[in-house]
Amino acid sequence: MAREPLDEARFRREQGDLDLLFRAHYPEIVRYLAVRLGSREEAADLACDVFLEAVRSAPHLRWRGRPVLAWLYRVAANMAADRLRQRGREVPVERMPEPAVEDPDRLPDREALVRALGRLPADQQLAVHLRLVEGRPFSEVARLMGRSPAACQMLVLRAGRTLRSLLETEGIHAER
Amino acid sequence: MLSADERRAAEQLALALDGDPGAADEARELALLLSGAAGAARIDIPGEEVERALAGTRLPRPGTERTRRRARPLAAAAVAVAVVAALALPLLRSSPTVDVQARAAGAIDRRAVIHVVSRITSPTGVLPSGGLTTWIDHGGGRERVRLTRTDDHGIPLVDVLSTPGRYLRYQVRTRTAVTGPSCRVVASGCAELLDPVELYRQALLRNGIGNARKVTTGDGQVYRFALPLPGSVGRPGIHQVVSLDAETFLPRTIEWRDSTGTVAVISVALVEQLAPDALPAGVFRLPLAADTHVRQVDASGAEVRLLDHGRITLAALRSSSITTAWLGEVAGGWRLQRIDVFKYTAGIAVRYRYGDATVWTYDQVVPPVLRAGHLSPVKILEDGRSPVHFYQTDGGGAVAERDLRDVTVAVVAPALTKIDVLQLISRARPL
Repeated sequence: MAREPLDEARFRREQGDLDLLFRAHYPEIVRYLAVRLGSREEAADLACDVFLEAVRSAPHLRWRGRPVLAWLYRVAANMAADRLRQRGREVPVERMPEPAVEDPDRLPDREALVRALGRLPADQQLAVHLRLVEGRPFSEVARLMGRSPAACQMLVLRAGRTLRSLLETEGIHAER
Repeated sequence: MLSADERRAAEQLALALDGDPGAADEARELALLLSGAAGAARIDIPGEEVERALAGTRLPRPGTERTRRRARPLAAAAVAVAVVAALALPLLRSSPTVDVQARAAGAIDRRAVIHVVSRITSPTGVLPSGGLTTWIDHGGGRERVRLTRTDDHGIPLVDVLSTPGRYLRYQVRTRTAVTGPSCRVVASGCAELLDPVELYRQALLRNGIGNARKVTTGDGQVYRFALPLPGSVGRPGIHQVVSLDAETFLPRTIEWRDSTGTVAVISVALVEQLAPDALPAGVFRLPLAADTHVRQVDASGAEVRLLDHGRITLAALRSSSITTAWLGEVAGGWRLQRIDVFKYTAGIAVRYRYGDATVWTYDQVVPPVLRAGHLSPVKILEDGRSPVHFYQTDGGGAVAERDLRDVTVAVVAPALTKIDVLQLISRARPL
């Protein structure tokens, strides 16, 4: 509760300074879209569209207790859904840049992991992205997704199980 | 309803993700898997890329809503290419590349609808020679493209309209049209939609200008620089040499070159940027001649045929694997009266009858009754969910259409007003 005025101040600042908004959030929107679309290049292109939409709409947004970033993710998710529909629901996966993984020998093939991640339902994918790719605590994931922390934990649990079964169908088994 | 066990499992996973070694076995296993996947997805976005992308989303000049470069005589533009080539070397001098990059990126404003008129000369055939007029509306990710190719005398040859989930190519001379879910339904469809100025813009934003030089030509000053072509375009080994107007920072000519020399010259006669609400009427409509033969094809390009159709009960539809949506048992004061299923070679459409309103749902195949009007949306309304497209059937009935997650819903109600139809379609939900 005590954070509310600070959050609102940040909301106003980002709403009024789109360069600030862009620099602060463009990379994470690209990362999110790269998995959704399976293409790093297409993600960068669509992320620009997301921020162009922000240029158009941000001045008219009202403070409802959620950061501008929540709105950006919603726009990104909608645009990605449109783009996928446009493509005939194909999700080609191109080679992703080498990531920093602590213990690669214990993990399934990276391409298979990203491919499986891209096949998760959109809400599970967003929850995984916010909690694990961007490293936000569940309380913040919940604010960004407009759900309770428990609901976001449940999404991540389901994502984990879906991921496991998707990988198992490819003959890849996670170590216990 | 979530079981207590599920809630506990989710909490355990949350603990495992926080590094708690005491979490349950499944939670630790899933945490490891999820962390691995997240690590693979954690790609680095360098600061320079952020700045370049930012430059591409900025307004070129504050307060400028409409930027237009008047058409120069095309012959003069073609001559300019030769003059540039002749004069370039002695007059080259360095310029601050970072400014050219930023201003070139800013000069084509993606918030606007971009209208480009150009003439292409390509003796090698790497691009179709002739006139090209393109309208591109990035529209917040819902890209619409209208592209018209003409012969050297300005006679239209091909007119193409591409909107999300819809593609229409009209061969003007033969009065034939093909329509399908995307440009992929036609062998050359997607390649045909590529506008050289749009390819230049994409390369500019992705690659940046490495070395721009200011050159004085007989037609004023230009900046010249080379850019690669986006990966899958054209033949391998082709790059583009761009001459950018030193005042407007818009391209005047774009030469495509390979190791043998110039393979195509694109003389840009006009780059116009318009606010979406300032568009001339009908830019994104493609009127077909009355006797046009329209062929609908599926995603693979095969012609769509009706295989079977028949009545179905609500219960049977619910228990089937058909993905559909409806308006509920009662809509607009009418009860649901009957449901029919139409099986096509490329997909399934479902028709619901509610009094004066008929509701169609479909995925890949547009039902024939909607097909003619479906090619030319009259109006698009946003209501905070997915956009609603309004158009008219052949018989003049108002149709509202909306894409849900897995299916498109169209409400046809000749006797109702647009507002009534909009209210009806707002009730559409998965069955």
